[in-house]
Amino acid sequence: MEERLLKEIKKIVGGENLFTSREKRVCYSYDATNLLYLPDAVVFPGCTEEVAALLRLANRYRFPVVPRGAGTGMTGGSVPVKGGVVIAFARMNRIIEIDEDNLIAVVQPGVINYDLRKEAEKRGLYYPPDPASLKYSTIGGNVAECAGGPHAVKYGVTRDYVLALEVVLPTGEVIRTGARTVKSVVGYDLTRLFVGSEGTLGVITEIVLKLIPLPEAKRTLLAVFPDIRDAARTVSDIIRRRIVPTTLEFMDNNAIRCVEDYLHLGLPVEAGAILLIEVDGAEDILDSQVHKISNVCRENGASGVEIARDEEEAEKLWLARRSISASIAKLAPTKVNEDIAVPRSKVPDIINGIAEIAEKFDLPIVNFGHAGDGNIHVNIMSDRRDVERMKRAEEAVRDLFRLVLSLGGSISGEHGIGISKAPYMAWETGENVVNLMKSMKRLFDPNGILNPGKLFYNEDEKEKIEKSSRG
Amino acid sequence: MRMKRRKLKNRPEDEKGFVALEDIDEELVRCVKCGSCRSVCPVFLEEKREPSVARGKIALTEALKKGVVDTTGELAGILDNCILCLTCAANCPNGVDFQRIMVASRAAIVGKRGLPPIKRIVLQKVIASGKILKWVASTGSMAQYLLFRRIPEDSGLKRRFPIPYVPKDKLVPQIPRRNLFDRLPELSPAKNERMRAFFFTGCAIRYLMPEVGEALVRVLNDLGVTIIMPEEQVCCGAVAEAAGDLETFWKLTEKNRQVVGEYDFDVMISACGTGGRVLKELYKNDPQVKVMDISELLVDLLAGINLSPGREIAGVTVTYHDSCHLRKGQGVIQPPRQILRAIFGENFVEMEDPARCCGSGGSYGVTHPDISARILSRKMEDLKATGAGIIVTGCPGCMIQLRDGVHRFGLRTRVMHLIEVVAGAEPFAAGASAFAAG
Repeated sequence: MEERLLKEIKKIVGGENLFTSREKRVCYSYDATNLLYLPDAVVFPGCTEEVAALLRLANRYRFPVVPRGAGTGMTGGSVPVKGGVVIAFARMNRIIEIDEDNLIAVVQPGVINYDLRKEAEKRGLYYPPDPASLKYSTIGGNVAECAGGPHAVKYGVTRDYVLALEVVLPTGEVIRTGARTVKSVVGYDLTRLFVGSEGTLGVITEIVLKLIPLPEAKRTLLAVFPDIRDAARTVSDIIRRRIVPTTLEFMDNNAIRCVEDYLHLGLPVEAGAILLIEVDGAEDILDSQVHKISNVCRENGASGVEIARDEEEAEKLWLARRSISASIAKLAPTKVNEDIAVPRSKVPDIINGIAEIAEKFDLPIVNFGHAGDGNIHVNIMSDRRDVERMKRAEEAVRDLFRLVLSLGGSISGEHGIGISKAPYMAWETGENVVNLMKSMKRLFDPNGILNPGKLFYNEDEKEKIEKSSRG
Repeated sequence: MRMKRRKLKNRPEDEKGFVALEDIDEELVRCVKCGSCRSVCPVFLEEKREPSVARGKIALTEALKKGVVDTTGELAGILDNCILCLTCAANCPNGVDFQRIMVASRAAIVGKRGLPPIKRIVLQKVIASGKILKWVASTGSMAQYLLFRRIPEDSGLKRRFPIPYVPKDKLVPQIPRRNLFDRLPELSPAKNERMRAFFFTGCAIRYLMPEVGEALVRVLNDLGVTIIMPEEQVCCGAVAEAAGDLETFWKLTEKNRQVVGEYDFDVMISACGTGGRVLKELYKNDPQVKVMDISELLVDLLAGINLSPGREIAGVTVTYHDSCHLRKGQGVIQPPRQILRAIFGENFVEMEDPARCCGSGGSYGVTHPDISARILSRKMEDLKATGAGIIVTGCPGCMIQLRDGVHRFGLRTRVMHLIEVVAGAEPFAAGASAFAAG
């Protein structure tokens, strides 16, 4: 990057908020995909005006700008594939307001999800979206990727809580979308457009979120199924009986074995699947709900149902679920993690289909995740160093996506497209929708300076990037 | 004093190898860059910049291996900005051994750039030679009042005029005139011996807090444990390891291994979180040397004995601070708490987040005084909220840091080692005779 431009940037944010050394740039070159692309500089703006000035400069001199929260995304959304300037929101991390009269929180994008939850909980309020990274990911990143989490089955995902945004457009213009009201129908819903846009349309600088009352109590239970298909049927059956649990997580036999190996919790290693179910709400209705759910489980062939008596026991049940990611690592060094989603009634079909794919490509596949909303984490175990095996894994992914789409599902439930899934986006949306999206991108960002190389797949360009910037 | 000579166990070759950059691939691969270390790293939580956190340092270590970055001063500075509190490792969902990665990458830097002059003198001239360290300690104990003022109520010192690496308000420990070996013999036999323990004193207890060592010997003797404490033992090497000076580290550990090999004992005892961590790692494959933290041994020995606070420590609320190397490095969490509960009952209260690092980290507090002080101030807020009259911990490093914090915050809390508290509890406080009678 030219010295002259760095000088201009320095004028905007100050020298202490600009990183240019190669060593420090390495630290902003990756996210949880573990792909590495070096930015030319990293800046830490302190306010919206500084962000706007940076974007005006970028738009004038045509250098890429990539917004970044905590860098915990799963598809490369915050990775600077074409270099340029990373805007990191470490300094814009203030909870501006929690409005208890209107159940609203106003936050800067760098606020950590967990910090907002704690502040809300102190006031008897609740911010439900709970991605696995909630203790370290930022609200800005959550909004840009439309993060989900286990609670989505009852409470929905990030988009269901965003009321209004302040956004800096790639031209440097600052706009506000939405309103601080429950209802607002004034023109196109630009708020929803920005949510999940992966930092390609504008840089979010302030977020107005809806909060809900903190649920009074919750109950956790764990059901063991000898046959995974029974577990899958139970998921759809619970929903069909008009019970909406807070979470309805599942882990398959591979996942159970790995966790048991890892933690020795006494999990049933012969089981086909485990369901982890949580309900919340007013204390007095919970027992009957728990009762109903355990009946559904038993009717569908559960060999055992365990109900946590207190917080500590619940925590133990959750420990198994939370340890899956770590414990499956030893099955194979590389896991290709796809977060597909299918209509809830199709959970049994997708589980059967995945088993067939595993057999066809002779690869271990570990399934776990948010069965209650049909969002399943399919982990195809492979090895980055083994070219042939990686090729098979890629083929397996293609088969998986075809199956998902044939069931009316979606190829990404909560991770987004980024760079990892860009080649497949058109499979789901069709070319015409991709073209419409491209036109919208051009409208917002005529010079293509904002988070370039994401969402839209370009074979030639991808290779060029791989060659030039891969560390 | 010589006892039955034991056959020296040769150090396996691979033990030396694990800290080279080429040998940590398995650890590096395990880091998937999820970012969970960002939620717990005390340095990151102050600075909020990725180079502060384990994930950034791991990425840099990988970059160094691939030649994307070089062993520059910038890189050395970033890698130095870590307390090695191991909080990240204890919370890592993939179990990345961050200690190994840091030692390997710092060693790679030292290999290329050499140690900074001050560290070189301290590590290779002073600490590496037990004799010079002893001389420095005794000279220091004479000279200290020229440079520092005594702060009697805090049993520490403050500088009289600007001294490099010593901030204005910092309370530094006094060096007592007589070190532990001036006070106690190498062999302290128990009257009714049921066990023999090798006491690995560590530098801090030996030179700065001999009273902790004295308390340990007295309590264990009362409990029928004969203490073997050869003066030839040297520094555990943790400071050298942390600095990436593996040559000095292996020199020290080799010397200790020789000393240890000359004695027969049932258990090796440490009363220092950091030293204990190094010893446990070093002797983990040696069936002849069983290393225990003092709290782990005491929990067994105290079973069935009725404990109560002695006069000196009665009637106060007590809280406990987890030394990082004791809790996260050695996994010792419950034993000290069980002991404190046995002595104080309901007067033992937990502070908010007792496992939060105090910011000491040995030399980190000296090289990064500002961040260290900011981390310490959070600990002090939590301590204040308990209203405790005594804060107990299991590592002299933490004690020095906590005493500084208590002084700066104007608290009246006493900072004590667990073993001092046990020594102050009945039946030990009344002396061995009372104990034997009771």
